[in-house]
Amino acid sequence: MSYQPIPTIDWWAIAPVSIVMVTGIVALLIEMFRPNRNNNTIVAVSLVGLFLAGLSVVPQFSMPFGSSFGGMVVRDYLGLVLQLLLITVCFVAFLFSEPYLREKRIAFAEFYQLALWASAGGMIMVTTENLLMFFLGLEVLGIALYCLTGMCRQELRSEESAMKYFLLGAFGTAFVLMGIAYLYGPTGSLRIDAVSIAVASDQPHFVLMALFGFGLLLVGLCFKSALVPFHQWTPDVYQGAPTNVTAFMASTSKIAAIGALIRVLAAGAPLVSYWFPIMFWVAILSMVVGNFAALVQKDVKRTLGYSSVANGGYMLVAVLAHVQAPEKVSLASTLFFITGYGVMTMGAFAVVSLAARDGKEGTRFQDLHGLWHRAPFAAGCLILFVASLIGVPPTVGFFGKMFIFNDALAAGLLPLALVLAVTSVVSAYYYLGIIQAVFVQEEGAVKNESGRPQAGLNLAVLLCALAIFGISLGAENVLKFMAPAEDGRQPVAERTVAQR
Amino acid sequence: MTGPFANVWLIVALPLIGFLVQALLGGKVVQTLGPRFGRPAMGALAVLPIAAAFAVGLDLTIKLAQLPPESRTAVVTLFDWITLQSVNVPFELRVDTLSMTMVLIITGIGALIHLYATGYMAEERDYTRFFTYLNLFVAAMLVLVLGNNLVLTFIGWEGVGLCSYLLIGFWYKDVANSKAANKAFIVNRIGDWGFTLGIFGIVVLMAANKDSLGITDARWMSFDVILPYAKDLLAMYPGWATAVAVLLFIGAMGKSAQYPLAIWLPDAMAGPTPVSALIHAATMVTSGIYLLTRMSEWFLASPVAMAIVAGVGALTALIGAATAFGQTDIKKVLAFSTVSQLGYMFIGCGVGAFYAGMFHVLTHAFFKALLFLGSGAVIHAMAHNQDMRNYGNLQRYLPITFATMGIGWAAIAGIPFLFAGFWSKEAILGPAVNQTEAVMLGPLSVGQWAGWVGFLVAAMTACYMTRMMALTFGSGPERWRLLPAHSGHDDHHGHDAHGHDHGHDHHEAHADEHGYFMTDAELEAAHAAEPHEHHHELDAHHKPHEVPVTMWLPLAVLAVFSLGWVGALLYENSAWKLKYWLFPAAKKAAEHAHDGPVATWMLIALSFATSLGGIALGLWLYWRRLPDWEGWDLSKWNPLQKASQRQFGIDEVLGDGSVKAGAAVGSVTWAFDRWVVDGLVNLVGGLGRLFGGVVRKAQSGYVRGYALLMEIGVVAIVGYLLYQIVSAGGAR
Amino acid sequence: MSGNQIVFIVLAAIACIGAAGVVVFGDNPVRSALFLVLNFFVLGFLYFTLGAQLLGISQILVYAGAIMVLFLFVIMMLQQQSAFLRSTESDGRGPIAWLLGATMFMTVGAAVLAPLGGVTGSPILDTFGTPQSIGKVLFTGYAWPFLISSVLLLVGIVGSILLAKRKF
Repeated sequence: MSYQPIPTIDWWAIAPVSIVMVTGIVALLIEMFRPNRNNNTIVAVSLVGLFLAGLSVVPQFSMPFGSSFGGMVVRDYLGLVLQLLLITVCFVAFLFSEPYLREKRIAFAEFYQLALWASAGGMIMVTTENLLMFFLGLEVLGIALYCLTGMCRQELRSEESAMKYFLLGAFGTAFVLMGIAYLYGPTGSLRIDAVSIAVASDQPHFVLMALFGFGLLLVGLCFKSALVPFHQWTPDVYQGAPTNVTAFMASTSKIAAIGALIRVLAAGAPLVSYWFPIMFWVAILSMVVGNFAALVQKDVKRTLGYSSVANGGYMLVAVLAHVQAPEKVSLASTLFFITGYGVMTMGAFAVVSLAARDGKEGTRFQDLHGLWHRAPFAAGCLILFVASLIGVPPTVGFFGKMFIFNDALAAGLLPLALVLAVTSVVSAYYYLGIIQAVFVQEEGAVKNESGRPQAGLNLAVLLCALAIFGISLGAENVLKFMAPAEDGRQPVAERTVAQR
Repeated sequence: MTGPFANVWLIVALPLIGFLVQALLGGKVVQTLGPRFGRPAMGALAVLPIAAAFAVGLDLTIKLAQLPPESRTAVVTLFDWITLQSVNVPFELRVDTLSMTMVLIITGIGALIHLYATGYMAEERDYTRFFTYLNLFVAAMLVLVLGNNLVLTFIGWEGVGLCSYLLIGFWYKDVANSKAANKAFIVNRIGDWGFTLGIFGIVVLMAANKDSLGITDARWMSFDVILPYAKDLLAMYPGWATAVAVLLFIGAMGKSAQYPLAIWLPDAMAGPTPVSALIHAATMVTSGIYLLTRMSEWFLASPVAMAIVAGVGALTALIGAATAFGQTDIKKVLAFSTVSQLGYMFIGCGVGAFYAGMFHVLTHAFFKALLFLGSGAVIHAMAHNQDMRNYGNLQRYLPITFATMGIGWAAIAGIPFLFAGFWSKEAILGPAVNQTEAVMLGPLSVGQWAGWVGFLVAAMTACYMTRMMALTFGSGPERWRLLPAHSGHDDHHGHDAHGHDHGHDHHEAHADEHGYFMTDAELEAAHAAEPHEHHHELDAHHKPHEVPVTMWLPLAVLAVFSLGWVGALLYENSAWKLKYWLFPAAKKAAEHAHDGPVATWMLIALSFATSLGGIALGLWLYWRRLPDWEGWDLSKWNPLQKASQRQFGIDEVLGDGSVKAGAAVGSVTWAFDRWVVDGLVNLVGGLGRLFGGVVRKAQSGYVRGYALLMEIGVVAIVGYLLYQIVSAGGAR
Repeated sequence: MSGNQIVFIVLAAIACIGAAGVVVFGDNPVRSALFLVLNFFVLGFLYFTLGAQLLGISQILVYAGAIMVLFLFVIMMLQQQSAFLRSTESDGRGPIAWLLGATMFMTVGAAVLAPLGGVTGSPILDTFGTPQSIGKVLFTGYAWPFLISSVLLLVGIVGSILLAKRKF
């Protein structure tokens, strides 16, 4: 029996994911002792762990890009930027979670462990070119989120939404698996570019299988990205989940799924003429349905849920523009918009989480009344987040949409650009409802009446607000920083057909 | 950043610093020093930066005037901002005659109004928040007019919109104010949509042709790059000129309140009076005229767009004037008068006399700010009651206000020669009727018709402004003494604790499910919840007092500028003639052709007749009494007056109609999302039920319904792929 | 007809019967579960005939053994409320779901599987599914995903604890 040589391991490439996962395990161990019978230690350790993970990403920007572990882990701008973003999102979520969870009487330490692992799952999804790894990341992320959604057991709505999310998620996962199987069948490869292998094989039925496999894979990803018509879980789950989980989920799940979608669509380039019209219509439907359905919602979290559907549509426009004309349109504006989206969403949900008082939580618009008096700083920042979601210049939301609009025009996707412009005008209407609700006075409101420590929340909100200012002021530099993501390192471009 | 105009950044930076000071230190200072000293201190800190910016602007304008006319344009690049593939959008400011004219108006009148506001808002709890917004507004407005590229202009455009939104809703506790603010914001979004598309039209046109035109400068969104090429471009694409011009005009219609997008401006009077004076009369609402003047080459290339501009302007002037007759709220009269005067300015632009439009911007800024501030003084003196039916004989109590407002009134009524309004009106109507500047659309000379409508409106303006003055100051009875104590005379009680109107017409009567507008019950609740701590009610024993010096001083200054000497800017041989100041190229052209007189004697006679006739009619009707047919008893009103009071139903149709339409579209889409697919499913299910005899109530929101939609999506996608393959003749 | 084919046809037929039995006799969940066990068993045999030994073993151990036992426990605990299980009768969605499922099977299945009908030989190595070869792959090239899957299991465990927890 011959032994294979032990390959050299690129420790840096797996460091961020490993650190986050190990932090989760450490948090699990700390929970056994529960010092002081509270979660403060766990939060502190988690934050330190996330910070270290972020530190381990930064030096990789200057390391040679490429794949290791046989393509299972890949290092490129797309992956690194999104990893950093996922870590930041988790960090911000942890900052404001503890007081909220206490207020709702559900301060389970498992939240931190599961959220950390979910983050790790998302990080895996955005840094791999291997379908098996992609699937594992998807499941780690998904299962952790199903459980987190249902963690508020005294609320029927929470349990119901967890069940819905789980069943539909399993349904979506089935499509992903079936798609992977169809891609693996003809090519014997689990690499993401199995499509091009099948095309290169020059056998018609191989191409056919790969095409259908690719289609099913897209279905699964559209489900995770909450794109129409696979979006119906979004408002229900966003509404039912505890607000800090919603914030975490809205950002992490979307970032990871869109990141994976970018890679999958880029890898599907050889068959682009087949699937492009599908994604084209998915993008249009997402923008239209998301924005218009949000108009008639009476619940803030549902509204933001539909807004998330619409934002998924905007991101898809950017991705499609890149896929359509990779030589003209870089991924920079996609990354820019995703970054902005993550920050805005976290900030907005963090403020909305203030609606929870005394174990009860109402998230209808009128439950936000008087927030301006209870928490003026957070409410003031909410204006900023909402302005950014609307796309009022010079916020990051405006620049993001403008860049995407330009990209779509440059790629010759005029209809998408127009739908984007028109629907984002429509969106102003429902976003303003949120602001208005915050400013309406509540009978007998007292400043900070709950006495809940708001330092963590204020810090989280401040971070998001600063990020919005920072990104929009330095739009040029941020864009330049993200632009190298295009430097010919698209997953498909340099790939030769892998061996079977 | 060198050269004589390097200081231009100060103009924007100073109000911005003021904004930061107010926002960061304001609350602290007032808290430490106490309201008695803290508020005047912060007030002074709010006025100073604007005054300083005015000084810088004046200095730059003098420097600019010393240059030869052709080289009176300078671009100051502050820093590189966005650099994308082949586009460069630096943060650059443009110093030229147009922008400096606007800067002087904004900072000059802005400083006066800030000064006035220190008095007017003295008892306001959120004193520094007010000045925070107001300083930010001035900064944004300056970015709008100084920006040298479309992106900066747009940012300023949105910035002033945001500040306007915040200031209309300044007394946010009152839901009606929030709703007025929302209305302004949403209606403006329609305009912004047009403006955005117009900008993209220009960008696309420039980007597509930059090679053929040989544009090497990557800053092809900047005015100094666009404008020189505009002529060539528009000659190549005449259709685009019309499209872009119309889209830009839609943007201008939103900001500058032209019908049908004018419906937000009357509601915007919910904001404090200084805001109405600064934002909704003098500066922000004129940014549409600024935009048209800046892009005048595009408009001159399209007779169709010019005709639309003139037509919309004339229509707005007419409707605004007609509606002003029916208003009993003093600020609403001024609001509709502003709408009407803005229509005038667009008539000027639409007939090609852009300089006349800008001149009217200038004079109107003075006399309308004067009138608004004067009305603020009256409201201040009358315990924040805005209903003119409760005034009367105030000349006895408020002599300074009466005198200064009288000058404003004489200016807007167009009393010949002595007052500024006459000159700017003549500057517009002369070219319109004589067609000296016009680009005409075939035999149908819209511009000329607009001019004749302008004369009609001039007579109406003279009449309704006289009505306002007479009802307020006229020597009739002191009507507030006739009020029964605290028993609302009718539903139009007009009382208001904060000096703003609750908008007790149309909109709150229509509840809709979003709650953007109020139901009657909500309105009652809002009234009940209204804190009345600061002001006593207006009752029979009320004795009006003249306002403090900080409030009448600005009035006096503005009054000086509303006098007829401003007309010198039109004088034929003046070096400062506004037409050649703004458009140096026009002078060159004029050297060859005879530059006709601004107004012929026939027109001047007509002006005499319209303005003096209107004034006489107004005085005769209103000076000594409040006529029954517009008194407190609504049932005695004559139908015309009633229709005017209800804005001829325009607001109801447009406001509620569009809200309902938006809601309907939303509901339909949502219903589609949630119910149609389920409905289809249930329909088939229903058929199944018929056959199977199983009756079962179909429900939605079930996971299986969602899963089914997913399945439908999957089958659609897979089916589409199969169809593609089959139609392509099998896989490749 | 070769011996291989006969074995395959027999096993496949039993597997199909098992699968059909799960849903056809739907009114008794225990019976359905037992049919599922049958199906899993036969699937395991099919894996053996394809040379995937480890997969076959784990199919029988994990699915037919552990998971089905769990299923049966749960079903028997819920047996008193069996009416609950049958309470969702067709409301008209059923036929559509059937139709869509069939459509999808026909499009994907027919288009993809039909061309594979003529394939007889297998290109894979003899040692393809042995525990040794899989173990080697698992601990060399696939070590990283192997680790990740352990975290996946951990997530499942901690998640179920979270959902079962009453207080913190």
